Amino acid sequence: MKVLIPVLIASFAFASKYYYKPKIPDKYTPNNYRVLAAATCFQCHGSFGISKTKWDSIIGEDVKDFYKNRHPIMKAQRYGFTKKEVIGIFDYLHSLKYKKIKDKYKKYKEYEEYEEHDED
Amino acid sequence: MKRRDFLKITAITTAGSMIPISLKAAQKAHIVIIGGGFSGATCAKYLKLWGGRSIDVTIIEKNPLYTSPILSNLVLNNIKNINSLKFSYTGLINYGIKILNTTAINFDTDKRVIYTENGKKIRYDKLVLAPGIDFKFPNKYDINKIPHAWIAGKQTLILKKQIDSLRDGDTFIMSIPKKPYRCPPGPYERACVVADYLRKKRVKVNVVVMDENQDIIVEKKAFGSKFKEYGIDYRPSCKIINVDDNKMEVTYSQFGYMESIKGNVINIIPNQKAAKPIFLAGVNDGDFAPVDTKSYESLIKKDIYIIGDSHKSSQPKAGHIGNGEGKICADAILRNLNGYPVFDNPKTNSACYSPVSDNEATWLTAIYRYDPTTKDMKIIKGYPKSGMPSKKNFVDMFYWAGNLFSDTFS
Ligand SMILES: Cc1cc2nc3c(=O)[nH]c(=O)nc-3n(C[C@H](O)[C@H](O)[C@H](O)COP(=O)(O)OP(=O)(O)OC[C@H]3O[C@@H](n4cnc5c(N)ncnc54)[C@H](O)[C@@H]3O)c2cc1C
Repeated sequence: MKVLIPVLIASFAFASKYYYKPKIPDKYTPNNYRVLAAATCFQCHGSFGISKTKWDSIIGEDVKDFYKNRHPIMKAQRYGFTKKEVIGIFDYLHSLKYKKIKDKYKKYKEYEEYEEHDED
Repeated sequence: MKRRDFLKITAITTAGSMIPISLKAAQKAHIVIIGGGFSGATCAKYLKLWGGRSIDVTIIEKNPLYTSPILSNLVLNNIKNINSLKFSYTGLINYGIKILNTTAINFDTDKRVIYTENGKKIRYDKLVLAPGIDFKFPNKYDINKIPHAWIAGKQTLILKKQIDSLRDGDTFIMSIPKKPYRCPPGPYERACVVADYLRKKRVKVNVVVMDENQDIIVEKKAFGSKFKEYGIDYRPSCKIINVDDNKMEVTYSQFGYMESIKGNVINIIPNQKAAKPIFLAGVNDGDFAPVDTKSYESLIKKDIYIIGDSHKSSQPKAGHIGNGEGKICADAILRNLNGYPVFDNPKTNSACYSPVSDNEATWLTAIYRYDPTTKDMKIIKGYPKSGMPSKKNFVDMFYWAGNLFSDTFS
């Protein structure tokens, strides 16, 4: 039997407010602590801080939002990351050339694409 | 300059070991990752995002689609369909990552070669092992009759079907492995999800949980109170001695006594070890692979990195942190290839949402920093690490998982 598998994650689809297409570089430039600290946020807030769910996109936030956030898991992160790291995270995210999307649903049509696979 | 030296060395060692390589291949470092799960897929993605066209990245993965163990307990109570937990590798291919859909069956780490089931020899400069877990079965028995459902997919569906066949007066037996094992709260979560499901279906089943640990090892308050609410028969310090798939009977020892118990559905989650590639590559010390968590490079062999459930460290065996390990490892490999020192203060974090019914969940989090004296990660203390079951957590669980899945596979 054939099954349809979402190419991205259709069942979790939610329109993001931001758009950023990473450029694949020609060579490696060493990541500083800012990039590596930011990467620890992406599991919950999406790659490059752009959320694909109803959780917040931190790319559009600031240091004060980090400290204001009352979510218990975020409270824990306050102990885990130094002020310097938190400032670095937002400096890095704000340095990315991202766009704010007005017509959110149009941009994220890709979520409706499916692939056909054999059921295992 | 340093990068050139590296390439020269690779070329010499490779030529010296008589592996034919094309000139083109010698220009770029080839990083091969075994396993496209939470840790391996993330490592590949970030290698490409950061290293771009300066490297070749290949994933060798035996399954054409990945099935997430995360949220898979929710297949048991009809909240999730298993197909919604499946991910294709199209997202990674779009970054320029090569996916080889085959099993790695052997390694020659001196010659830097991987042998695959489809008869190929693959040369690498850096090898990342991310193959997940394997089981230490107490004896031989048919896992189609007594599933573990701890690697998601077919096994999840077998257990689901069996649970749906339970009738009034039946017994459901589950075992919890000795730590360390994949996803510390996972088995307690499963016991709660199944007990709640049966109760809501109004099927009176005796739920027996046999834990090889001396007590509930995480979120004791939350799981303990749910076990009480559901009337789960929780038995600590139970070591599984024998599993009989014919008589549907489990023999175990508890406090020095041997006993047997029969069940209509038996879900043994056996004790765990790293998956086979770790042993084939000779990078294990006991059941798992020791690494320096600054880079995840093996403490036994150079240029081999181990991430995710199969490495040995103080971090939990979990998908969220496995994703984080993949990123640290990717950066360390790129620094090494380009002659920069490895970043010496990495941090990782872990988050787990555990459903305990069809509408409530708990959460668990921890943050780790690198400790150069032990070459291991050390937990940072001072904050609440877990929360009690709530409906808000249940909703949050899907927002968390959705972003984790997309950061890993798309
Ligand atoms: C019920 C349950 C609930 C869970 N909940 C959570 C949670 O809430 N949060 C959390 O963080 N984690 C959770 N986990 C744990 C999480 O799923 C694992 O820790 C995670 O999948 C480990 O990632 P990995 O990359 O090490 O291994 P895996 O994800 O298992 O990936 C390994 C891959 O390697 C492939 N492979 C193995 N050997 C070979 C070979 N020889 N050749 C080619 N390919 C090979 C496999 O096919 C597989 O795709 C849960 C697990 C379970 C079972």
